[in-house]
Amino acid sequence: MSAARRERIGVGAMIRAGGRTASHYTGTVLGVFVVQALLAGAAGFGIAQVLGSEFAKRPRFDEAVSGDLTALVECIKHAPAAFKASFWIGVAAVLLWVVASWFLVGGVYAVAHERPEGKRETARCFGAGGASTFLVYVRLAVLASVLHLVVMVALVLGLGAAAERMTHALTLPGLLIPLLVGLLPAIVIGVYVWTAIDYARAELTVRRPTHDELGAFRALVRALVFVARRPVALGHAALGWLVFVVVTLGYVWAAQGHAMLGTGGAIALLVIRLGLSLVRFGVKFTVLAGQIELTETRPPPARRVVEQES
Amino acid sequence: MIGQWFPKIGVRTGEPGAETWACDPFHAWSEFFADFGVYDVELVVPDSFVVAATGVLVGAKDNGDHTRTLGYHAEDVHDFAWMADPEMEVMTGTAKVEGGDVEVRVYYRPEQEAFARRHLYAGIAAIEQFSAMYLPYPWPIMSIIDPPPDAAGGAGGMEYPTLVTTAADHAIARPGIHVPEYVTIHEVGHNWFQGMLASNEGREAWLDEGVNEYADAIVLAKLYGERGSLIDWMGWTAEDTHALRAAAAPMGEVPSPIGTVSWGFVDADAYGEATYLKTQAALRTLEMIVGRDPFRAAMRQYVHDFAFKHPTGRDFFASLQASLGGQDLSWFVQPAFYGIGGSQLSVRSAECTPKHDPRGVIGDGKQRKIITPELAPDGEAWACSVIISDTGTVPVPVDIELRFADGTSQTERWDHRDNGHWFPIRFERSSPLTEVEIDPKDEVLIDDDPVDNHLRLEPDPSASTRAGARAAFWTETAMQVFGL
Repeated sequence: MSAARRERIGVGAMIRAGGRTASHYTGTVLGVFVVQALLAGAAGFGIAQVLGSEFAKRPRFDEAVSGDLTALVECIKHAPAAFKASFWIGVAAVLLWVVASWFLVGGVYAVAHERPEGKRETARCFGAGGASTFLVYVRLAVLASVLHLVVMVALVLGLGAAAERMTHALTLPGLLIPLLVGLLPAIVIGVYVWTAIDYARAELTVRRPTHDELGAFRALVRALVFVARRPVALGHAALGWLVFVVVTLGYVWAAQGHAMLGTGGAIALLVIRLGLSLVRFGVKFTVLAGQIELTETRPPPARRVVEQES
Repeated sequence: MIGQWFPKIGVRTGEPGAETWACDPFHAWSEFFADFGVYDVELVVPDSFVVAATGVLVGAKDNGDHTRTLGYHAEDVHDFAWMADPEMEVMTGTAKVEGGDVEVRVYYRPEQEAFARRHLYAGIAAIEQFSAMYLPYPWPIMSIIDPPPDAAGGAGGMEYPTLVTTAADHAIARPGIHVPEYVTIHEVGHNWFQGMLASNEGREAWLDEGVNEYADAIVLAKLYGERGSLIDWMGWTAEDTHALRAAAAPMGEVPSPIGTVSWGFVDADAYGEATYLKTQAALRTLEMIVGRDPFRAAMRQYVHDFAFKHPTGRDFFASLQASLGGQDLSWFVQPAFYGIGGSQLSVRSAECTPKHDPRGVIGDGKQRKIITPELAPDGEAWACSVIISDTGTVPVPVDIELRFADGTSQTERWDHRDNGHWFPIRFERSSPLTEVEIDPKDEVLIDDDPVDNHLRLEPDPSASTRAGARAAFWTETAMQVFGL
């Protein structure tokens, strides 16, 4: 494939490439998903233990879980520490996953870039890719915290500006439109920042073997410029987020009014939730693989010329 | 909106021969205390304005200068308020009460039409229900003003005779979330507990607000069902009185009794919690103690006896006591209304073990025997022990329901008005105890932690497992947002 043809790559080609990678490396997709599901499951188990130790003998909690708002508030008032502990268990799991992601994303990018064949080679590529970029991804995350601060400022200012209209909204559009307008700056900046971080990671994976002087700061600056110049990168990432949000809201909407009690209900609910998470994870994996496709079209960073004394 | 403005007629209060004028200044947390009178009021307003006022419109004259003079007449009212707005529209309906129809008007801005319909329904229903429960609404009209949302904070949720302002119009107040209807019912209800029974709200705010709250909960339950009287939306439900109790601070943390003058509360939160919520909870608890039907009949008698008068707390309790056959209520009234705290019931412990002959080392010398579990096996009977405690300040007699593995149950009554703060229940039974529940109908509303009133002896982790599974899903969602 010539460089000129590669530069014309569009969202469709990125999605197709991502889909091809995801369907070719189903073992990798499922493997990483299982790790994620186990971590989330462990957090859920911990939360269940905390709540169970406080409420397993208190039938009022059964009513709270079954949709009695008053009972829920009463239970929170009765044992606030149990709910705080549950919250922090969830937060800890998310933070742990963020750290793990610095390794796992490197592995996914490496597999999507090198396209190894065979389980053993794929596992070697995944592990080596994740390990070789882990530290530079950590440095990237530290640098990107400044950009996250910008997103937070945009969020606070945007919501502050929308607060007055939202406080007096009479209709759902009257509530949601100011909310979305208020969130829009943070969403736009956030998607831009997160996409740039993704492309910085992708470039670090793709170019590190040949450009070992490429550091986190330079990769991030290059990615910020690249994403600003190539709207296709932003559109592709935004599409992924849109699918994520639509799928999640669709589940919330469909789940209303279905208590799904009993053993059969619990198993059905578990399967539905796992399926939904897997779909969202597949979308995310497809987006990451598509980003590699676009990154490979990027001109490599200039090499430092080292004059050798004769 | 013009309210709390008209010169007030002071009230002569006190025993005959020792009357004094009660003319307390206005206080932010309460209204003026005023006497009844007949009002004839003329308002000169721009002719493009829609006007609502206390009483009925008896005359309108065009002044030829783009103004109109409107005449209003109101009888047996203790306040006059009015509103003028160039953009309001009017929606009308009729409440059917004994003695005639009542025209109910809702004034609203066009963008609030959907909420105005809800307020009209609630207003009509409130008038009919309060009339049926206590005394027919005596005036021919009720005006409900639905202020624009940005004005509701200052003008919304206020009561005047024959005219009230409502509030809580908001996008999140979806049909099924009955908060806007609750506000309307509450304000319309004040036409009984303030409009007709004109207590001194500055000195005994609970007689207006809290007694009205108690009645509002009954009306809400009749209109929307007991379980979802306040919220019945997307599978979530909340009953009014229980929801308000749950949302309030624990009663032991409110440092002022219900019977405190409005300006004597430590802050607005304490005023609101004691005056509205704790009063409502105390009255619902008292209703449970004396019986629902006798209590409601006594409340009706109180309204009949003191309509168009200025009852005090003493009048209120004396009236209840007389209607309830002279039974002494002071053991409850004194600590609940004039003391702090409430009930603090809980199942302190409960255990049930199989009954068997004595085990261990028994006897001495040659008589010494070691009785092992094999020699004294478990019998078929169970020995059970339950301890109930109440560390609160108001000793409310309660039922305790004991449930057994064979599906049977047994109810014990604990009346601790004259004795201690804990109550042991020991018994033998052929089936083991599975659950203990104090106050199974959840009627002791001055106990603000009902969670520890119900205990099952064997843990059942199914609810916490469901909660954990739900938490796992949303944790994974957050992981997918912030991580890979």
